Amino acid sequence: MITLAIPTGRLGDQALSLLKKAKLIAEHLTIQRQLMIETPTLRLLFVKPSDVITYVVSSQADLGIVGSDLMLEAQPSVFDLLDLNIGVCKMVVAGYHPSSVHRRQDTLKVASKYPQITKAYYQRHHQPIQFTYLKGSVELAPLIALSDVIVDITETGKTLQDNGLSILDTIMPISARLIANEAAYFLQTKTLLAIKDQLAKEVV
Amino acid sequence: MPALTQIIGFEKNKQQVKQTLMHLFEQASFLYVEPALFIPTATFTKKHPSFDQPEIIQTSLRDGLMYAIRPDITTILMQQWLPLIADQEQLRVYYMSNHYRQNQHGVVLTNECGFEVYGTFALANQLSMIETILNACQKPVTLVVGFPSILNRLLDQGMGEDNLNALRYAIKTKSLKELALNTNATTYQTLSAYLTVYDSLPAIQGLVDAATYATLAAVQAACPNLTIKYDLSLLPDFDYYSGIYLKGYMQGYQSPILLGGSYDDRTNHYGQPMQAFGVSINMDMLYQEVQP
Repeated sequence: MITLAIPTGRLGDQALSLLKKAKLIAEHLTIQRQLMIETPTLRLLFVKPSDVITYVVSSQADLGIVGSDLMLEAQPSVFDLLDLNIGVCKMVVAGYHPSSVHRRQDTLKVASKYPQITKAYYQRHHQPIQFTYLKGSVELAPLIALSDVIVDITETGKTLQDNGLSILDTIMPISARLIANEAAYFLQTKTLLAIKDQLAKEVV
Repeated sequence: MPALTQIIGFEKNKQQVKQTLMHLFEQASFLYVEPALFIPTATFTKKHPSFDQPEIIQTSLRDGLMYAIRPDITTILMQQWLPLIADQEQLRVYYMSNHYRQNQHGVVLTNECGFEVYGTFALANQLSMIETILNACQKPVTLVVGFPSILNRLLDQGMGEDNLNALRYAIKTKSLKELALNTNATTYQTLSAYLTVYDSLPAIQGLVDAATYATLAAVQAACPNLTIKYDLSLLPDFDYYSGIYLKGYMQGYQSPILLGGSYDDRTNHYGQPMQAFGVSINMDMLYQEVQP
């Protein structure tokens, strides 16, 4: 039995629809508050989005569905089998003043919940930064001058706009991925690839 | 909580597994060695610039220098033994030791047994030794064989000049999407073929040269009782592997039971070029899976 870790919340709902379309789980399957469900083909674990990688890396799940932002930030030893084209958004640099220049000679103050992605981006652009790690409400940082700019994900840009922020640069597109545990992939290659192929047919 | 008799039984089993392994190595003329505990941090990081430095556990000794506490056994053994080997000599060593790393939760100590062979030797004999050990496990082991220098060479040739880290990430995670996002169409086409895991050797014929193919065929011939898969996108944490690279996986474990390969090119850094091959085996997994 293959175990799949599914994130709770909106991305999880989209993932379940995709699994149903791919006939990997029954159409009538309803999930209330259970954290684990066994279907004839898959054991589903419902976990916090940021914990999906932990379950897959630790072999508690063979497969998982997770945003590529979390993958790029953690760079775990797992395989990224398929872009599911759900949870689509983008990683951006946003600033308070539309005219603010986010690349300059002196140190730029940047706030984000993505330290690795932020540091890699500014290293590529040879821009010295002073980094502040925030866990949420990142948009607040430029408003109270905690940072000059923020690095965050945005789907429509509305929250940024509502707080007077503009997108200054797009770092990368983000989407949900089907990931596999390394050992499980080598030991059950055919089974895991069959699930991937079934899902791939339904990815729009 | 396990009963005391269970604990004693497991400890007895551990001792027996250890003694059986030592007997096996000594019969094959391997010399027991104890890898040094410290290596100057500067020496280690200079030799492994791509190694994730926060993983290194450091201490300062009386001379005021910073030392890394045995972050990698193969590097320590190369440093200790390679300068002492004369021309045409062969040295076979084995160890039962730990290496030390740290992650966000604290110190990670890995209990390993392994062997290294330096000088002129037949690779097939070393591979047979691996098969003998892995076949003693109750669960079957899948041996994944790679050849990291193929992709490293392609990346060095300028394929990933602009975005090397992103490309390495795409390769390590076998992510076709990330590969597409970070390369042009031609590079994507070239690299994507290497991300597949192949069950049979003929399937990779077009991806490797004749000499590499012959080496991979030798692995298959020397380990007829193991399931072998070929993965040319294996990029190890240490970049000293210049020939075959091996990873052994077993059902129920998150990390490989075996890791290692050939590192002939790296011996130059320690005095003289020679053939070199070594593997490490996770002893804790072996204790669980072997009934002597």
